[in-house]
Amino acid sequence: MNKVFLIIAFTLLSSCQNFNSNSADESRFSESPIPASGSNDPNDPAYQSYVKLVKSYNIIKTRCFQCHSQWQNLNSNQKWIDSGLVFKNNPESSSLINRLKNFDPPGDMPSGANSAIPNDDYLTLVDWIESMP
Amino acid sequence: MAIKFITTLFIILISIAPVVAKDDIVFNQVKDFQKKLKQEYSQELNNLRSQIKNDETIDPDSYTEKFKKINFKIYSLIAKILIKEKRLLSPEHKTRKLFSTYRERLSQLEYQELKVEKIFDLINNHFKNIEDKQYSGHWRLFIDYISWQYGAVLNKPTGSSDLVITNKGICPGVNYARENKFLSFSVDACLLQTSGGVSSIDPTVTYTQSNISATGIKSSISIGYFASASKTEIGFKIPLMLISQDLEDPPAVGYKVKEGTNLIPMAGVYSRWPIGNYFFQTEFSKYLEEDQTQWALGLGYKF
Amino acid sequence: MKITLFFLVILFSISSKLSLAYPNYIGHGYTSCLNCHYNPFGNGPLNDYGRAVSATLISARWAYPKTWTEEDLAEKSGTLFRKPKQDWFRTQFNYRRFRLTRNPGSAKNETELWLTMQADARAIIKFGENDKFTSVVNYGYAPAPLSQVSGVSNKDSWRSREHYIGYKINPKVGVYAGLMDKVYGVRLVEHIAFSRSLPQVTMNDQAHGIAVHYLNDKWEGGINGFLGNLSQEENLRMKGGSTMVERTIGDIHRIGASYMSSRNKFYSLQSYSMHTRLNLKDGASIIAEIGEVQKDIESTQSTIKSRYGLLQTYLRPARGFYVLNNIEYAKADTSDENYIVRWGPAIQIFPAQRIELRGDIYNTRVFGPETSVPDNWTLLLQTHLWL
Repeated sequence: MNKVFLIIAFTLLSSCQNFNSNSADESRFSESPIPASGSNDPNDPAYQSYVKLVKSYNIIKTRCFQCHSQWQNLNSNQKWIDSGLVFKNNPESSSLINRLKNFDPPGDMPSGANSAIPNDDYLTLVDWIESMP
Repeated sequence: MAIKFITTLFIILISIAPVVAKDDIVFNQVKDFQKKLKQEYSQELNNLRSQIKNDETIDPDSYTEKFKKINFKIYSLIAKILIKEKRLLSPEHKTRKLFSTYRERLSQLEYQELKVEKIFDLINNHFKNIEDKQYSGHWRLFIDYISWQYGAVLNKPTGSSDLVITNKGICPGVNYARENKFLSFSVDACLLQTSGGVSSIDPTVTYTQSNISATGIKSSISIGYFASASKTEIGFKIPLMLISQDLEDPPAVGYKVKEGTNLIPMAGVYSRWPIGNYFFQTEFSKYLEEDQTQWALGLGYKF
Repeated sequence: MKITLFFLVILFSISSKLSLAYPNYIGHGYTSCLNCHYNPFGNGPLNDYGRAVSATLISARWAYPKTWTEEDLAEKSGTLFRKPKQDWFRTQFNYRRFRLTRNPGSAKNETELWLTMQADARAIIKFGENDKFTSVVNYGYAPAPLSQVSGVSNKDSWRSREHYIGYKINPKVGVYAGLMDKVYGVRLVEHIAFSRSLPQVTMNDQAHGIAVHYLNDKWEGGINGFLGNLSQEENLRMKGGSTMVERTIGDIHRIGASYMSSRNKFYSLQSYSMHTRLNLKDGASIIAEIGEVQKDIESTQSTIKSRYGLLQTYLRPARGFYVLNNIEYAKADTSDENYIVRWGPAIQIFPAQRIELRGDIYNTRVFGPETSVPDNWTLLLQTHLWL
């Protein structure tokens, strides 16, 4: 029995672990900070705009926040416009779009060896900016 | 002139004579001892031969010590002859067969067994070494999955911009190697069937093309070393690629693509992993003049 | 009883570990990691036999007097350079230092970094016939991660590495409980390999749990249930289970398969893989693994599938000298056409027992339908010392 206690006691050591594959999961995958829309009616333009904003925000979070974590607070259409990254109803002039490698002519984002974002995601972003109320 | 020739020939003959003469002496000694065996120990010799042939149980004590000694002497002398042999003699060669015969006799006579086996192993290892060092030719067919990068330049009215081209595809080919147990010297050639894309290294310059065909030939010389009993091989390679790949000039005025060299020398390492007659191989080579790389992964068959 | 429970609770409140697994030693005829390691799935401290193998088979002997026999080298392979005088306690100390050079030879952007990757102490207590009861603890230094990640405090730290108790029910079955690497795939020493990073089984991804190990003449495998790393915030811990099974082929080769399912508050991961380890004799071996990882993200209700492949070749031209090559493939998102191929030729030298010198050069090439990107190069030089 003493040996068993010794074995168990021997395995006691304690300290904090500060990094592994999951350490950044909260900042990368937590729920969108976008305030809920007042309406749930799919025919309501305000709700439609809200859905497009949420979808686009999540795309940008997945594809861009690794390097552009400062955009996390842009949780409304107006904040995106005020940031200068988006021109309302004008995706071609929006640097959020024309800096992408998907754009024609291709931009340089995502940077370095990262490939262009999936085309579906790109079209979602374009549609969001084009249809901003 | 004739005197000079004869003198030279004489000197050559004199210099090799001791070697030849010494070998002859040993041969003659073997013959002499065999003659003595037949003449003075004929009954024991015939008995022993008969017992071995009929696979009978032999009583070593029924043979004289002198008889055993002469057999051992002959055995040792044959070993002396064989150890000097530089050619590969098969176990069926008459001298090796004779050697094996005496070994069996001595084994049945239980005479100096340890020494007899030690000498036998020495001779076997000697011929194994000769065999291992002998080169033989082999052909191989292979197909590689290959990728390489090289460069070009986009000349603009305002300057120039470096381009990088990444290609990938297949390269089916043939290899001929001269190999022994330890080393391999080979040459190979394959036909490049690849395609790739080009972009500017400077991200602010938007020149890109994709799916540009790149064909050509890649030829290499290699030297390798067999690193395991299963003949896995590792070595150095000097590939040379001759390629044809046409890049389009941009439509804007004053823009022109200056293609890089289409003759690309490289240096690299390779490995080959046999599984029966099949093998897979890897290669990793670097362009000698620029910071660009080629690698290949392939499968093949050895004939 | 209360004291036992108290200790057990404390036991499951501790933290991480480091890999030191060499599955390529199948090339020397060692199909199972249990031959040389206390952890039956590999890595962690070496047992006495493993230390002797390291001294007499793996390491060169040119530095030793010719009069020393292989038995002498085996006897001197203990921590204190001699055979231990008791059977119940062992220690091991490890130190690794790297020189990492990015874009070597580039006039514009070559960067160099010196990094102490590992400095740890391990202790083992064992009792019973054939080490029926074991307890392993590892405590050491963990450098700050090289990549800066938003929201994570990236500092150097000291922490416990690997602590568990093991009990061999019989020669075929053992149970292990504590903080351990998850049972999945081939445990390479190259923790940056895609086969390690994509399924999240890298050098810092240990979890508290229970593992059962089984071994007979033909089969070897394990089942692992885990609660995540209990020293981490609860919402980050990956909880789940995994299993790995291997079959011996022709007495000297192994093929295997693995499955792992885990989740935290943010996503779930399903990982599948198949692998093989081939013995090509005299230290030569081939390791190959292919796998797929599916990540289902809660917040976006989206799924990302990744695929990876690994081919690792080992050759031993001479005792103490290995030449290896890592060829890797990764597609971070299968809905994307882009993928990466990374080549990593390397040499590994064991000039004497307790010393390893290693040099790796990594070439990373990105393939995409629309762009061509210059290769990325990294040079890694490593010194590894152990007692």
